[in-house]
Amino acid sequence: MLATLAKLLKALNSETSPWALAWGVGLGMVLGLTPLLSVHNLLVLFVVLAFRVNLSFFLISFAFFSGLAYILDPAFNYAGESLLTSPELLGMWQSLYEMPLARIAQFNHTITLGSLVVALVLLVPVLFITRFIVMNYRSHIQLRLSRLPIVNVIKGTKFWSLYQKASRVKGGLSS
Amino acid sequence: MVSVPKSKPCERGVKLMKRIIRLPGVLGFFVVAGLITVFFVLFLDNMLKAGLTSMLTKVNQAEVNIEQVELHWSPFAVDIKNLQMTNPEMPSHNRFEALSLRAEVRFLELFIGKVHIEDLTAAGVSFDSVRANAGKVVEQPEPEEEVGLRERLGEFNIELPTSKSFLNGANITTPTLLKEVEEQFNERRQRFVEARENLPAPEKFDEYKERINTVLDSRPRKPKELLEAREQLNEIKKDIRADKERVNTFLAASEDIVKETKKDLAEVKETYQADINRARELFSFDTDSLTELSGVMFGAQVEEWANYALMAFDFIAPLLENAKNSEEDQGPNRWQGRYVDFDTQSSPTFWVKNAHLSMKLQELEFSLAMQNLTWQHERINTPTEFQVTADNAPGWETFALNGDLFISNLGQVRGKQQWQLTGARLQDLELIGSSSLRTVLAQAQLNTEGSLVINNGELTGEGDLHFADTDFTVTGEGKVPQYLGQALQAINKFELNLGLTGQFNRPKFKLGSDLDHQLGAQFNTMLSAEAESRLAEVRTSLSAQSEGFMGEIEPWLEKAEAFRAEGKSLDEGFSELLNAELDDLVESEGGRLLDKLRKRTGN
Repeated sequence: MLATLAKLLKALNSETSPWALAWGVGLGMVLGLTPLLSVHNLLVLFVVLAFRVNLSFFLISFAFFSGLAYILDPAFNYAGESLLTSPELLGMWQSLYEMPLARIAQFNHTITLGSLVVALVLLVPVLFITRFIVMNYRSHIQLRLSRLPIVNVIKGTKFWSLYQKASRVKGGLSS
Repeated sequence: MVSVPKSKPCERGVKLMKRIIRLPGVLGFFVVAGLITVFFVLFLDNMLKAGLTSMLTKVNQAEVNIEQVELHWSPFAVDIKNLQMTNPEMPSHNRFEALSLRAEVRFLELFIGKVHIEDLTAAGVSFDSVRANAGKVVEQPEPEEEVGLRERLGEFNIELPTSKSFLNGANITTPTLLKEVEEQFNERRQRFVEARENLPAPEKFDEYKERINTVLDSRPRKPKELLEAREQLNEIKKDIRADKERVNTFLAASEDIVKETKKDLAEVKETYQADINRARELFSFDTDSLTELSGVMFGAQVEEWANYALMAFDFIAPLLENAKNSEEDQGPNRWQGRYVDFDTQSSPTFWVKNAHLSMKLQELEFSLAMQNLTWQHERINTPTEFQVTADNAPGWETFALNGDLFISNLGQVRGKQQWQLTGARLQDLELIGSSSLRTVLAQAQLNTEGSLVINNGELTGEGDLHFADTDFTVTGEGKVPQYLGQALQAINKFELNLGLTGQFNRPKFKLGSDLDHQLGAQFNTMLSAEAESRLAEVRTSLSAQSEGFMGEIEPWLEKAEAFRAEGKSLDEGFSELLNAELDDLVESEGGRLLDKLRKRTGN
């Protein structure tokens, strides 16, 4: 846990692109909010691994949003039900129903569709908000934080040595 | 001037690609995807087996065992080997067993929450097979109250009670009454003797009469003599009155004693007759009590046959439960979601287009074919149809069973079924397998036909089973097997009428037969002579018990009546003496004085 946190801080404090961190949070949210064993999550996983998306942020985000999803499942169910029973969208759903890939994606499952739509709607704001936070942290907060006495205390702990170790790893996870 | 070599466009593209794409990640993705694939390839069968076992156990409410599950991808099919479903009512047996089962499933429909099976084939299907080990039961069903064979046969009164059992039984009352009456009689007899001891001797009457005559014959004329005679008479009357009082006391006491004794005697005679009548009733054979004997003999077997005949419904009944559940599931589980159906063709959620089950029932190979097995018949506008055939059946001439069933969207069931079997040869069919009574239909020829209709889930139907050329073997202990064997030996054909009612998935059977009447007539003939003999034994025994007492009480009553007559006579004689003697004396003296007066007056 400490190692993960250290990697997280390392990524935050390194030269890693803010977009990489933002995509990590965003895609972790998509994976976390939607049912894990869904075909679209294979795509998410591919994007995360194939592109330089920050894995630490992705994993932390996934863990956080998985817990949140459990609470939000009724809302996803409601959203999916509303979309799937909307008369305006009926034609589209019927067309998708005839497509094998859509069937495999289980688009007609209320929670799957509801959670995916909600996650995709939230993805863009989450990307921008995360990027904004990361950039502000690096330009304003990071320096002030390093001057705090408490930080000097932390620098003497095991956690700090782990952080340093993570920082030395070349081509680390955040690269 | 040193020129800096410019990188080529392709190199820039590679660098850009490297900045964006993480090649080890791509590799990692395929490794992960490959591992997932390998995991599923290696463990999917076992996962499927565990899932199926769990699901079927939940449905069956008792242990379900599957030896092996194999998944085939082209065509997509599931092979199940050795499926055993424990019977929750009898965990030592399976309610259903299939050696192999193969379902060719439409793959893409599975992802949208539909199970469409193109072909379902099951081989080696058997019902009620014995398990190697008793299966665990999830929920024990309510046990049905069963009456033991001996108790049920006891109800039919096939075996007559012995005279000894009757005489020792609680129903007989004469011996007890005799004992009570005898004790009371002895006590009354003693009271009678005591009363009689105070009774004056008959000679007393003559004695008083003589004394009175002596007084009267003395003819007293003078007043003094008259006074003396009157005193003598008063003295005699006083003695007579005393004796008369004793006579009256005896008569009063003896009247109650004799009256009560006569009453007891009448009661003994009445009770004796009632006991004889009861014995006659007990020993007589009531043919009406045999209305269910055919049920005892054939009930279990016919029910088993009827269950076989209704086996198609056993497969369809769980579908109805699904139909009910889907009706109830209008509000989906919010945490699990639901699949919304966009099928323009409205195909059913569960649909077995063709099913073929090969099964073995009592050494005979049957084949059950079903088409369009679903609970959403309105979606395909076609009922589930089924046919049972038996290709390799040397045991009969013709066999046909078919029917159909339709479940509406509201869960209402309607359908029909008919069957016909001719020339079936039955051999060594055990009807009753108890150690005390074993009845085997050694051979018979059976023809049967019947039909049933299901309307709104309610089943009504009937079937006739005609047995001919029957030969029974009956063995066991006691008289029942002997009587039953003799009676059945004389019967060579009979009919059973099977009535079917109740819910289609829980049918009730009612059996009627002319066999009961035939058996009743046979039993009556066999048992009437024996009944007469046993009645005579009871009569003799009761007579012997009452003989001594009756021989004593009746002569005593005659004597008592004689004593009472004697007492009455004495009482009347005393009354006559008390009244008549005094009047005579006054009248004779009055007459004498009048005569004397007439002579003096010359009149």
